[in-house]
Amino acid sequence: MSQPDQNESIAASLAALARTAHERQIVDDAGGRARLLLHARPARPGLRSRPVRWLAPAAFAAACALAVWGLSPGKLRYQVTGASQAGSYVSAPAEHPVVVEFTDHTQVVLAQSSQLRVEETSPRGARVLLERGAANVHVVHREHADWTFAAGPFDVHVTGTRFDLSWDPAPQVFELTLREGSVEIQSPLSPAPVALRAGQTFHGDLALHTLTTAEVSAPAGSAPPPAPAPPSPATSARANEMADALPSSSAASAAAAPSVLAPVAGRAWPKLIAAGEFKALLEQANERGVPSCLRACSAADLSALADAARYTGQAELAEQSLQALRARFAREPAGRSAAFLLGRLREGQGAASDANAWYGRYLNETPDGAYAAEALAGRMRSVQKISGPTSARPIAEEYLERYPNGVHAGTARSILGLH
Amino acid sequence: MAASFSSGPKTGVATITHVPPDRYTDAQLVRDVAAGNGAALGVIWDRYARLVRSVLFGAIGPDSAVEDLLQDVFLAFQRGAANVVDGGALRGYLVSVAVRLAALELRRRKVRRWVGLSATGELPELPTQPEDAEARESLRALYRVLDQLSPRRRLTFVLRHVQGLEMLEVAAALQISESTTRRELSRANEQIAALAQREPSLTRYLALRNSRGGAP
Repeated sequence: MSQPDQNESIAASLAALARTAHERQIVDDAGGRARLLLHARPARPGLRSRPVRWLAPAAFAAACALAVWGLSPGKLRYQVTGASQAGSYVSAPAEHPVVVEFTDHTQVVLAQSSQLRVEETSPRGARVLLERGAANVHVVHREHADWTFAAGPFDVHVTGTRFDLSWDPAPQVFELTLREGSVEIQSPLSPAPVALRAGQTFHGDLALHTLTTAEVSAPAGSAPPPAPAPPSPATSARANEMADALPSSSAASAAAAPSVLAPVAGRAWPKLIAAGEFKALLEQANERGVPSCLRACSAADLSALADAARYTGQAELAEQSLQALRARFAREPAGRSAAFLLGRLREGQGAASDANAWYGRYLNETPDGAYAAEALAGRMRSVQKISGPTSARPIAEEYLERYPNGVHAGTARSILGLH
Repeated sequence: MAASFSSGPKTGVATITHVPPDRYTDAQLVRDVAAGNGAALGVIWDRYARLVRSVLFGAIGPDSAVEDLLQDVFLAFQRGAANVVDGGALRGYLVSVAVRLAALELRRRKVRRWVGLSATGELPELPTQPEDAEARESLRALYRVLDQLSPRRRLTFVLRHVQGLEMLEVAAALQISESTTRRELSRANEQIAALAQREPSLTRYLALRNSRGGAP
């Protein structure tokens, strides 16, 4: 072999070393994607950054064709921020909530992994169907406003109000917590509409055929109403915090005093993450007091805190935040994702057994979740480390079956001796 | 979102066929990103993040800067999407952005070494799958060797040998001629082979690999 050929052979062998190391590198693809989209969001054309100009009709027609806006002049229009949209259908990803903002400033913050459909709009309001999941709603009060929020067989009629709504079609449970104003709820559980006032919660269970209303906070008359400013992403994030800080509105917890979060100075934490201001977020967390945040912060804030800690390499704080998410929001998307992230954290610390357990928990709870591929790959690596490649073979086979072109397909094939 | 429009043959009424975003061509995705479509950016991430990360990892090694640079590549693309004339060349475009950012990072590291901020100029390592100490040392040694190459020569090696890009693709990413690329690669091979002989862990790795007929 000539010297140049020998050199080339050595270089190629060393390149293989780099490739193998890269395949073994622990990457957070889903997290990276979410981070990218959060960072990219400010650059998107938005409702406020795209003023209507005199030549707007053509653009407006195109926008209508794409169903970004409503369907005809006079009717309310809306825009979705944070997710793709297929016609009137809006689906929030597992990583972050989605904001649906109407031209009258009414705003619906759709929680992670939730879906809704804007069934129709009119000059006075709209009919919005929550197909599954949870939403935080602020309907701006206007004379003759006419809004209906539907979920399963429940119809909520509102004119101007703030409330949190959730609907789980599997157990057929509907919950509404009213923060401001009044609503009427029609359902097959009662012959007449049920009127709800601020500070009350409504819990309807179709399977059990039960309907419960209860107080979750001070009566409306004594509750200081929030400032009636038009909603903005920041206020919606705050509304989310308030929503998350309230206990579940079951009859048992309804009597308990709500653990409302203290007001936060500065910008909303998910916004800080989106802006890449991780240090600023951590400074705010320290000012607020990390222990109290772990006890009382919303799921969105805890997720943001965990992200900031992870991005800045503060493993202990990341773990505390993720554990708090698990303890307080285990049934919510953020709590479920925390199981995967804890697995990732443990794996990075070399604790393969713990990592395997967390990955397994995530896969049990969310078999088709956003991190399912990564969790399965994590289990594959962890089991390989704990018990060797033979034990990891079934997981490698499952990985290849589910994700034949996945990022970790090379590792799976290597475990199976396929190359 | 892209959709294809066609006229129905009998009624003359337009029918709309929606194509799932993950089946869009690169050119369609680039147009959508330029129009402010975040979902299209997500699809591009799904399609190319692995490649771009791999380029960055190969160029600068297991380093916490890789993920930040990866974000920078895609954000740079998003900002400049409206200026991308040939959307079909997206792969090469992203690789070339990654190469430029990696080269900047390599220069920054040299500066860090010069000003004494860090003995090696390296940032903390990224978590990797736990492996034996010998493999870790071999990898460190490899990047010690690569650190002694000029950024361009190092990137030529990475793109050609680690990424397996064609010569023309390497040349395009580095914005040099194909003949210069071949010369750089030949010199990179020569330099790496010589420097590897001074690293005991690499000589052991190469001997082991030879004894196994090329397997690691």
